[in-house]
Amino acid sequence: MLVDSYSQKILNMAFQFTGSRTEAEDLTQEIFLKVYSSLDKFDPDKNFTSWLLTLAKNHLIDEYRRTKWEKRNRDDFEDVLQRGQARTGPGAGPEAHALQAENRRILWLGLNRLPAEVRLAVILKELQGKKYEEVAEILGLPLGTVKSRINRGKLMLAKILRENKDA
Amino acid sequence: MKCERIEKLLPSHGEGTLGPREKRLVEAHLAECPECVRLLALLRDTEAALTGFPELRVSRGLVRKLYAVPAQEKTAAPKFGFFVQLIRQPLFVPAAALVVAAAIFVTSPDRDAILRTLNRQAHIGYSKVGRVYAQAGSLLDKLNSYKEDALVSLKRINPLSKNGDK
Repeated sequence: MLVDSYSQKILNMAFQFTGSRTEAEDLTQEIFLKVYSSLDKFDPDKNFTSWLLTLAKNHLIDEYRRTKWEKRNRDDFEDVLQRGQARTGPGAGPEAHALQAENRRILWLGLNRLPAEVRLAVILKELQGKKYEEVAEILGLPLGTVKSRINRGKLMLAKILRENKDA
Repeated sequence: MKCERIEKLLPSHGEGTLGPREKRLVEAHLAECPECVRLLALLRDTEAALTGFPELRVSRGLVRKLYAVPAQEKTAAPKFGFFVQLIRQPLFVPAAALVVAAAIFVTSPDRDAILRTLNRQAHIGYSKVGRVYAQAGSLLDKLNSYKEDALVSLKRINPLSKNGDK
């Protein structure tokens, strides 16, 4: 069923993009409404997940342009940690975990400083774990453009991290 | 080589996807630039932090709403949704009327006559406003004189006032 297979993906994509759970839940509903009303336009020869995520991406960007989310605050990262499923890597000691948690808090807020298209590319590749080729298909862009967009985003985030550590 | 040029290559260097020439350039620069070495380390920290971001669980309430979407979609798809949306936008209708009026004016051969009429109507409106303003002034004067008369009468009637004692 569509809801079981894709709701988690769409919700998290919207949440990481907007930074607001409430906003993400509303957007997920709107995206599903669009999906159901566009199902007859889906070409069965193509990848369904990519088609669905492209539709989600278009809706997120359209809504971003309409409402300019970057002006709003993102949810508090402590709340995100409490409500989310932690995905810390194994093997690291408590000190490394604490450092990584602090980095995540900075990056969570830093995501809002990336341009919308760059932010979405970084979310798909780094947070959602997609391959470059998949991101290119979802965004409808050449592979080279996607790679440079993601690299630009990562570099901007690394500089935000540096800025915070120097402050 | 300048740091800005090397910075752009750092993400690909971290992924090991640079060509041999660019890789040599970056390594030579890193050997003498501690700032870029630091940025590369921060880039690795960034990647490590991003891959482990917490994910939200879909709440039961949202699942219920999402299952209800197909039914919602059937009932909420108006045939003339686009036009209904336009009518709902209160600014769009006057703006469209203004655009139509401007288009008629620009393309009309009687532009001068329209301008004369508009000018005349503006003058009529202006003189009407002037008259209303003058009437309001005289009304205010009258009200002030009534007020003064009423005060004098009250003083005369009041038995406690000095005039009344007399």
